[in-house]
Amino acid sequence: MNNRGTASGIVIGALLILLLPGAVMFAFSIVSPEGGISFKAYEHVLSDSRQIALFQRSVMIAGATTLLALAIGLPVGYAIARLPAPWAMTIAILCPIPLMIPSLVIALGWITLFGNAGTVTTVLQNMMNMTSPLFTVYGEAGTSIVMALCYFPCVALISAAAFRSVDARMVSAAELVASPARVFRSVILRLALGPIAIGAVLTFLLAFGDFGVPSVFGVNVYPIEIFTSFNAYHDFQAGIAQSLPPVLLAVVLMIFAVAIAHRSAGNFVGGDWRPIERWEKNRRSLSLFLFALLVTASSSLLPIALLVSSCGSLSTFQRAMETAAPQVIASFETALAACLTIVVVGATVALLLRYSSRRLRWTVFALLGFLLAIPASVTGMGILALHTRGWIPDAFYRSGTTTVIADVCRFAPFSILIIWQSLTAIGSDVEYPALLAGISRPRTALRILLPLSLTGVGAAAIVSFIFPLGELGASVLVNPAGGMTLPSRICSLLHFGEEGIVAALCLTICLLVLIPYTLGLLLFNRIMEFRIVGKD
Amino acid sequence: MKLALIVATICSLFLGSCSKGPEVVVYTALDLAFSEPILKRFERETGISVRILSDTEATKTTGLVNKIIAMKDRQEADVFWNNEVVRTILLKRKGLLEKYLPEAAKDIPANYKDPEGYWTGFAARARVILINTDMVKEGSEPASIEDLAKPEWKGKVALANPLFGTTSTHAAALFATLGAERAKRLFLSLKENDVRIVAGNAMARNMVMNGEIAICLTDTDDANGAYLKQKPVRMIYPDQGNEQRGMLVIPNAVALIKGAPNPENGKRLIEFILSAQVEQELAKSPSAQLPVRKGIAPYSEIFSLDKIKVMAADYEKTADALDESTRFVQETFLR
Repeated sequence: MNNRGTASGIVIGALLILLLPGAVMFAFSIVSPEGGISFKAYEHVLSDSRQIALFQRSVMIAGATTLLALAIGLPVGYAIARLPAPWAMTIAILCPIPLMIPSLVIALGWITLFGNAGTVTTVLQNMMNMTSPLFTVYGEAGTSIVMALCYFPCVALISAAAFRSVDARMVSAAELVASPARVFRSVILRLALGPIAIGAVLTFLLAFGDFGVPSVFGVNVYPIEIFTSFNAYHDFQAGIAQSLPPVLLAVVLMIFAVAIAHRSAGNFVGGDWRPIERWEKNRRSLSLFLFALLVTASSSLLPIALLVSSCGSLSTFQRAMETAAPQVIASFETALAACLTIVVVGATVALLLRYSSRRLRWTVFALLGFLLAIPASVTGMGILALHTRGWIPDAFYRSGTTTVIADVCRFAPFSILIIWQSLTAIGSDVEYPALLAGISRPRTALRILLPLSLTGVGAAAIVSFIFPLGELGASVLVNPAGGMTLPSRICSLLHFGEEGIVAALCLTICLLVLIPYTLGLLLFNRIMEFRIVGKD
Repeated sequence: MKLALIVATICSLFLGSCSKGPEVVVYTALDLAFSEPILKRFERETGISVRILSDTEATKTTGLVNKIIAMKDRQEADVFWNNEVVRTILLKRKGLLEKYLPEAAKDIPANYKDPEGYWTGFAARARVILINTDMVKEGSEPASIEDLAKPEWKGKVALANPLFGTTSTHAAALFATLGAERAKRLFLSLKENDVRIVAGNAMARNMVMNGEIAICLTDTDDANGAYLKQKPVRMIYPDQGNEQRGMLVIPNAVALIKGAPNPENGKRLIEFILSAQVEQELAKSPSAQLPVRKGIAPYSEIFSLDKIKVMAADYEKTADALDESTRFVQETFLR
């Protein structure tokens, strides 16, 4: 790219395409029945104390979830980055499992254990000879804890990639004069602060938008207002208008996170860069391993164990596959197509942002906040609106491409942010020799920058596969008839399907992710080893 | 060469999605476990390919309604098979349904059919009280919705979110039948009695089944789900006394969509769905749907409309009251 204007143009074009469904719906929200402009739908947004209280509660719950997710996610991320390879691999495989299972299913699992008549609750009551439960899992605290266990992998995976990118030379130099704890606080954490901030914002937005888990624990939150407008009143304009406060909040948070990322940038990957060294097997690494194992096992193996026990037998699994095989295949294909598209879009936009003006970068990040906070229903409705107006051909709709489009619109921001953040750690001096030698910018980007940001690309790929595989909010609207995805099937069976079948299908989602993810991890580790060994 | 291969792959994806023969598209809100076998049988018997889109517990029927509204200028669906009736009436009022008087519906009672011919009801569910027999002493069971506000049941009753699903229909029916003021007093008394609002009827049922809570208000299909699991539960038909209003019955409702791409196939499917055979199938299924026709054997005696005092609910008036009742329960319970 020898023209900053070209880079900016492509970035803007890509963003406009991603924004189109949401923009169409927001435009629709200000059109009056007579055809003119009207802001009537916005008059009642946060206009009464009830709505304000719900919004405040949502912010508090999402905030508490984020803090808890950071408290458990950062040590887990550090464990993945620094533990001896076999231990790190174990944690890395278990870590993303909570993202693969619908959060509603995880919440119901915790109720089975800790509800008023839950297994653990009953045992504790009997042990202590009590007539009522020792504690209640219902309420805001229970909601925050369970959502933290659902979403901490976002923090863990992003921070693991960031910790791994920290230059080992810096750490070694610091360790000559400071204790390991101080080195972690003052060097490693500081250099990884940018990605951690972005991971925290992503976790906050996921928690804010989740109303399934709160509803299981009897907590009312603001997103239910939006859901109510769409699904109880069928008042799309009101629903879109009510989406505005969370969208504005997301924009502010995103700008804040990116500001932190800019301040903390300074870890230059390039030249003789080596990733941070892994610890030897000793007491320190064992302690961290046990903590990380406790967190990942309780958040992943526990719901898996409940699912396996619900599933009961292999024959139930077989029956589930026989009835849902088309949905399994469709979901896998859609998620794979979405993942490839999202990673390509993410890498392209992130690379181009590197060459864009500072003003454009800030605008893009603000718009990414907008994209992240738009409710799934709004994105789905927007895509349907484009389809009914002929902008999206029927063949695209019937082939399920609209589902991929919905996934890209919803999850490309994750990919853009994660990859961009890993690119900021690469110094500009890395490109100069190639440019001086006459290599074009696109080739330099592909051959030098992207390989150096492989950890970020890998983290983006994981997230870009898991989220589309489990996406429900937009896909229930944009899926064509006959093109049901696996999450839709699971949720349609939750009411009156056999529990065993539901559990078997949830386990299928886990396997669909775990198998390629584990293979990808092994391959990734081989590539990283080769790069380091090859340098020597 | 590479470019040609990519273009060919993309084209084959789209070509693969084109239908090759007669088809009908049905949006169904009835649980897939019960609607899918019926629709697949239609496909086998007629050779007409059936493309199904079902709703999810998460969107509580209304995802399909929203999709029909959103796609009004370019409908995908031919038939809407709803598992309740009020939102079908909403679609009719928005001008999104086509009038069709099916032959198969001739023996369905008039109170389960739209007088203007836009929708037809069949295979109903009823709103019932479900109790955990280990937690509720025999002889002290609640006999009416109002009984759930009594002090002895404080904090011991669960109700599905009254903004959605059959609970919202029930709320609207109470507003229409009792009048707004009396209905509001009823809901306020339930709130003062610490009624637990949960995500859905199935969750309320599960809580009673598992002993988390003593009583819930749910549907007959959920209640039968608990019976099938042989849990210590009992279903009570509320308000059955001579002076009492009776119990709300909510039929399935099937309708032809305006602008349907395959209207003739849609009509054939509607005739099939409204057949006595299908209603018998649904009655005998684990969802124990209550037959509205005479001569259809119910799941068991307790699932027969003949044995029940039914609330004289006018579904059109219920639809009229839906907005007011929803706003009231939103203000009351969503805090």
